[in-house]
Amino acid sequence: MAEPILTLRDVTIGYPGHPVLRNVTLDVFPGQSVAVLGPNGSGKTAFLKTVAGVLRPLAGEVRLRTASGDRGGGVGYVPQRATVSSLLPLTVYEVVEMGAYDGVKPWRRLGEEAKRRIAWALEEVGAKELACKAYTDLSGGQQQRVLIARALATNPAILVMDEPLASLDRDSVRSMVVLLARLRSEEGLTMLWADHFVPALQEVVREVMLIEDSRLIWSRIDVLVDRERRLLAPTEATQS
Amino acid sequence: MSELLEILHPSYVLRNALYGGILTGLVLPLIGVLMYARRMVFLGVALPQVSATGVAAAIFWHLAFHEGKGPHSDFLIALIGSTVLTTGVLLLLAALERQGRGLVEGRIGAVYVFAGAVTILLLASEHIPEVGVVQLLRGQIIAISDTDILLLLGFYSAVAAILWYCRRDLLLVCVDRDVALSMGKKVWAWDLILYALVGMTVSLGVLTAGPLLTFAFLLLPTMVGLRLARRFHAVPVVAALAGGLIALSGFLLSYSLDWPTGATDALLGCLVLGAVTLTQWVFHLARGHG
Repeated sequence: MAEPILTLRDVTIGYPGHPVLRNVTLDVFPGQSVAVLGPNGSGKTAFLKTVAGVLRPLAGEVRLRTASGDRGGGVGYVPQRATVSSLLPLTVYEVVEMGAYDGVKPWRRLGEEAKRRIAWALEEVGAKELACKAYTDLSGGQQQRVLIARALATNPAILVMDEPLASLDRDSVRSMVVLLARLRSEEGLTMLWADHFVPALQEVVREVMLIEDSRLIWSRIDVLVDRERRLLAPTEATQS
Repeated sequence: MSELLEILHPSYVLRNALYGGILTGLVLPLIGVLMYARRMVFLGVALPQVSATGVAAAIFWHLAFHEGKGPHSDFLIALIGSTVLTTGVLLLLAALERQGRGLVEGRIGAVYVFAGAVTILLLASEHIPEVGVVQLLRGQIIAISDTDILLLLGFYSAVAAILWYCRRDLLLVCVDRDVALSMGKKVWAWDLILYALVGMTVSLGVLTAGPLLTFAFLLLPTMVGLRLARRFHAVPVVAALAGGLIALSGFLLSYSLDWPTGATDALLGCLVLGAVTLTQWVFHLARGHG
């Protein structure tokens, strides 16, 4: 059996003086795609930020095995869209280029390899034609693709995404799910993401981590979808 | 035209004031762009005031405890006081911001009021001879010497070089701190570099051009650059050019009309920003109807 790419052992997650998840122990294996589900304020973002290295764990150990095959990078972090300021005239290329800053000394120019990676990332998410456009002029779905491209440009071992489907219309959700499913199957990317939208995740994830009462509970996506259908059924019957 | 040739002539008596103004106009917008990207614009109002307090406090300390004697000039003492206080306040505000409690703007407003009050009280002290220090606080660009110009050139060149070499990481840390952390960037170190650059540049700007013009050069050319540039990497270049041109034109205007240079530059900066905004608005309307 392959070694886990991400390991958490007895980790307490949260902010100083305000822990939100305790004693988290889990392994994520290469190629696995896991969704973290929970209500607002349950600690999904704090969990992802801890895995991405944005937040330090309050206790315990987070270990990322970075030297896996040809993906030698670390975490490709996709934050919520609102984190990139709409007040700056950043082009799509400039946003994606930030992903290639990883490992480049400040005084060095971006090499050919980095430029190839940027071009590949733009191509992968279907944003090549948008490269010269202003990031703020894009639709929500396009902006999300650009942020994923930036994470891909880091050459990540694992893609960590914070609500990539939030505030997207139905068509954008559909095309985003197709994109992520393709990245998983063709590129073999390991993915960890937080979201609310259960049914749309079925094509990309099998396992789900539910956050309930400050604990993480593993489940399977089909079990959750069944449960949600049953919960919705009486409402639909009443409406009809 | 003859006035322009006159002020550009190497024998012009106020040439150092002109060179100092242009250098300040070229470099302060480079810092202003990063402050804007880091959402620290409001801090740009408070920092020059804090810097002025640093000047007053350093001169007060020098006169009260050393009777104004010593090998160092008032300018150097004022620069050290201003830089130490400005950088210290920046670091304190940054530490409080990281705790994520309270309103950032509220703290900056309180710092502004505190710094203004302390400056006035220090100036009212019997230890401080009013005229000389007020001159320092207004910016002593008119009295700037050949040596000061060389120092200014050296310092601003160093700032511009650091900003150029570190532009990628500074941009990443300013625009998306979380992503920078996820890439393993030493964000605290980049913050420290940014704050040190801001602190020193603002201090030198206040001593050279005064608090009003320092804030004007931090903000107005930056906003012109943000309006005109089509990509972010071009913003510092456009902003610096706008700042340099405003400094040159403002100096020429103040010389022709016998107006104070700082206020003329600041007003001209506002007019340029207004003209750029209006022109873009007219173009936008014309295209919309076309």
